[in-house]
Amino acid sequence: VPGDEEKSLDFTHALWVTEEKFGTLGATGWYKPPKIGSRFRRQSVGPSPAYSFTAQVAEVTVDEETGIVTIDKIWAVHDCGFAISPTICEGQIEGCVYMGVGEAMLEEDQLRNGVYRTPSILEYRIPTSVDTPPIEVHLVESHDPEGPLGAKEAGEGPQLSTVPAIGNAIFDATGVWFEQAPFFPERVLKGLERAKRRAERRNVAR
Amino acid sequence: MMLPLPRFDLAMPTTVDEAVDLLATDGARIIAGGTDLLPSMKHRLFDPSLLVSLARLERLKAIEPGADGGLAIGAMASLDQVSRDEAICRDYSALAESCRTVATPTIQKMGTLGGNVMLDTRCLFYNQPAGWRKSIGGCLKAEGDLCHVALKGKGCYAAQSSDTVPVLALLGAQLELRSIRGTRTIALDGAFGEDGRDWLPLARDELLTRILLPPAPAGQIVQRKLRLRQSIDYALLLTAAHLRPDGSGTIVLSALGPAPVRIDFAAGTTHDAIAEQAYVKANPLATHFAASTWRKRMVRVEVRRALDAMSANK
Repeated sequence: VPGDEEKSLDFTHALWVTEEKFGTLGATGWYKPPKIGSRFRRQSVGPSPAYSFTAQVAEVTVDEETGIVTIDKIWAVHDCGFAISPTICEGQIEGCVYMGVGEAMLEEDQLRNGVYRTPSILEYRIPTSVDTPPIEVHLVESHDPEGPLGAKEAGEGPQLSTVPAIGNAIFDATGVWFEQAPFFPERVLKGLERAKRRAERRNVAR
Repeated sequence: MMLPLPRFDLAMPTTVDEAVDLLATDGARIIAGGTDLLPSMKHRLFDPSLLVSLARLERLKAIEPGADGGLAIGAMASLDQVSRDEAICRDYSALAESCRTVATPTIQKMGTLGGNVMLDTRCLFYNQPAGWRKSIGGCLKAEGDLCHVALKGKGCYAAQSSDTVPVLALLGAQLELRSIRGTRTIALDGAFGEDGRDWLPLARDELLTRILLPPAPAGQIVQRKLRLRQSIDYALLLTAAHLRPDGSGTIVLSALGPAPVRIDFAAGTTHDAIAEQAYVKANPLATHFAASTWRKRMVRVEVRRALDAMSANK
């Protein structure tokens, strides 16, 4: 109440009181992609009305004696259309990069005679906070004519670029392509040695 | 998948005498921090009728000066407590560091040094839920049947996975054991057996009360833990190295089989020669997720890096 000290609260305090009484304050909305194309099986999943774009850069250190790859930093730049909540978009992109780091470095299902060799998260490893590199996120906003308020997506697209960015960085560091993720140390070490032997043979032939 | 605990009784003795008496009953088992025991009970690896908790034995949490100028660490001192203790950080810094590499900070708060020394040996085919083990026809250590690591093996190769044992071995630690028969002290180095089903140097009713350290040996000690993630993971290879002022020294390797492997070297041996000696002696088997061929090759690298680090400090 303006002018009445006893019936006034500062803004932060007012938010606390409101959230305590009514739960988290927020706004929700929904959007359904339009039906595109004709009727066919799985049509309901729908083709995307818009496409997001992502570019990522990874900096890695490869230990040539052990094959251990350390990711030093990842930069992720994403075109998500209009960022309705930039903080949430950035969080989504960081989450994507984190999952991509797991895919690139640690996560693999393995079977042995039809039985899961990776039945628990002690074997199927996901990165911990100390294994996750610093992630720098930039949003490139555009205005999509179809999406709600001009938005596209920030939830899954950015994950696609992380594994190839790390693979490319390893190639840049070592000159060897690794086509099978995760880039386990034993695989990297084997690959490096194979490339070295091939280079030696070539030198001998000359 | 929900893995419930089996039923058990819990005793909370307040004196060591009482604890030792309780431990003499059939089906009794010690619980210290419980960070390894409880998951293993959920996996139905143990089914004790009575758990004797050491949580109220305040005397076993103390870290005190030992009789001979060394240090006496109560078996119930938490790994976190050991890693922060002033005397340990000053005189036995490699021990403090090894405690800090165990699992996660939360587990370091719960887990105890005594529990870590007595840690069950681990294997990819052993530390799994009962249903999973059943689907592969059981495991030699748990069900006494078939070993998946060495198909024709008669012994168990599950890996000694304590992060503190290699450093404690180099420090010349003694284990003080209590039972209804009395107290005895044994050397930790060389105490562990070669069969993963029976690798512990004590009887079922014996209680580890204190870890006794003699005055810190002259020279430097370093330890390295090889793992894929820098937290949570058990070691793929543990390397502890001691370099004496005269240039001689000792390497202890662990996480290979049930017992650590010890390599002594004379002054003047090159680092590469020592690493080669260790490589020949180390024999990792498929007890871990990572390829054992790679783990064996890492022995050379880890040993050389441990030695190089100490020479650089000189």
